[in-house]
Amino acid sequence: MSLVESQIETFYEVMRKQGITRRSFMKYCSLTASALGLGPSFVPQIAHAMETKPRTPVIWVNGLECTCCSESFIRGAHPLAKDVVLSMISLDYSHTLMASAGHHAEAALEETIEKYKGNYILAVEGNPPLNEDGMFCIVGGKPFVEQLKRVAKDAKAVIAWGACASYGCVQAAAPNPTQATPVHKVITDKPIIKVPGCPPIAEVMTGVITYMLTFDRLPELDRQGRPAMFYGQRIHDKCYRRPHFDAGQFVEHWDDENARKGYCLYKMGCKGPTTYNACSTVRWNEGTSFPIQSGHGCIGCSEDGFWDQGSFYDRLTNIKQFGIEANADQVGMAAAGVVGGAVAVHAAVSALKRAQKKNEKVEG
Amino acid sequence: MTSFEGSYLGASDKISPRAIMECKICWTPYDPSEGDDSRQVLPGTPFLALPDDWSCPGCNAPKAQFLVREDPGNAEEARIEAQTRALVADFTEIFHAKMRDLPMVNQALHVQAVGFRRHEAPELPGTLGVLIAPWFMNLVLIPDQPLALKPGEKLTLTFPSGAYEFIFNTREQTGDYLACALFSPMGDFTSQLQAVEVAHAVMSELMKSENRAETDRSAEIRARAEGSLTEVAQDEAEPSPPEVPTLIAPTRRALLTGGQG
Repeated sequence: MSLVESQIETFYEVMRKQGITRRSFMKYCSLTASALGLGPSFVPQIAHAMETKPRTPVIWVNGLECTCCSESFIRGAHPLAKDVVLSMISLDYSHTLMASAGHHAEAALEETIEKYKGNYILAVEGNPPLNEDGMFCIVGGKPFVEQLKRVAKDAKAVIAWGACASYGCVQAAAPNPTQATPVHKVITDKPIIKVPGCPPIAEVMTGVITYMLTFDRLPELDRQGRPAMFYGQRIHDKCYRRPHFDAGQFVEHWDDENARKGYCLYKMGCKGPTTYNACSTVRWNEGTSFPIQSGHGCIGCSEDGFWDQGSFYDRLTNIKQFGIEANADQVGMAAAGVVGGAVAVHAAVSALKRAQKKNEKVEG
Repeated sequence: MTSFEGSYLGASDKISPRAIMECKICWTPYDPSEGDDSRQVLPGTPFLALPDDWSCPGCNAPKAQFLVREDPGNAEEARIEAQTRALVADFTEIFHAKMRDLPMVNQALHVQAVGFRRHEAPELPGTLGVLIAPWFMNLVLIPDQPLALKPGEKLTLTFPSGAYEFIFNTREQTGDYLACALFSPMGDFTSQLQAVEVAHAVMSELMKSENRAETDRSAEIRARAEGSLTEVAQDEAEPSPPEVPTLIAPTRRALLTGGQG
């Protein structure tokens, strides 16, 4: 192998060390090919690239969380999460996925930090509780918040997976006894990309990682730090039930005639009109369905503090488009209180950009 | 302007070049196909292209006092107007029947169709414009031909500013239409005027290529992956054998003369 002496070992070497057979390796290569939209003829080349190219190390730490982000990630079927885990990136430290445990694992973490100082990506699942000096979440005998700060210090960038890391989620819901705190309030000196959702869509997670590795930078973020290409549209904008909303056709009771007809779920408490996510375009399970398609309203799991917004079945009442939500395109039209050409054009352009199709279809 | 005015009063966007106009005072017509002999206006000159100081050849009434007698160039416009009228009537009815008391409806607004015009896209010609309602603002395309789609199905249409997903629906009064959501709910609009202004801006910004947002760039990611893989393949390709200088046996003559002869 030509790059054996390079500082960062290749992906294949790591896989072999972990006892993965050549046969499985080749299978991962073919999965990667399909994830990138490449034909089978590229498989040998991918295999070769993985044998020779240095990999990007990722450290994946878990705080207070339920592992649904990991579950979503590894079960992502189409741009196969598996192959992203095992080929495009390499998880040097992940409680859930790594083979080692105990002291050995903690030593591996230290080693990774030292070896790839400033070069690794830190993925955070869950959040640190700060109350009682962080004693509500202990990893390797120490509070998780200490581990988080230690690892983040030398990271190139931080990915906050899920509603927990991005906003706090259920453990931060009132009265928040453990004082669970989202990552961006603890790590303040690193670029943080938030990928909210409970869990986030697998294709979104892999899409974010692929983008970062390919272009070596963060994708365009909105004001809340979410990748605009996945969180720029509301569920409501692209919902297939939208024509029923426009036409005032609503489900009035569960299982009434209108529910059978697939009418709009707004009156049943659907949070689609205030939720920014890609569910209605990307959908779940290889684009099979999403909550609204299965007949239940959106609960708004990718929005800040969704546990404290009342019942999932309360009808939305006071909705501001770009005022309160403070998303990427805060226009402040109402605040400005003027009808001005420039303000109108700005509002129009941001609405158009929001409405544009962001996921490119790759042929082949 | 009083409501019984009747004359066109300089509303040049309302009449086509083929419009036949007549003076509202003495009923003298102006027909573009004949021109005006008294002012040496050549046949084929549209009413709007007449000189500013042109006045009625019969009674000297100013140009603005003419009214439309017939406008054959406007059949298209009349059709668009009929379409938008049906659209507005349809959604006004929805507003009164079903939406009126919902808390998310912005009571400062009313249903209005803005900027509807001919959209000559090769794949789907139709009428394109912005529909404002107290609970949404949508880009709406009314196709010329009925579409074989079910309500809720999506269709991607491309404009200079990017690709937009439209959702199909059909209603008795409006017929088939495709809608792309721009705003909903409409809580941030304080007046109808503001909404209309934004709608007009949408129609012009839609056709500008600088308003393209960043996509997930999967096409580019793929191109890069292919590129880097070909690179690897090239590196891997058998190194071509080192060039061995070919030894040409010198001729007897060259040998004897040391290459001089």
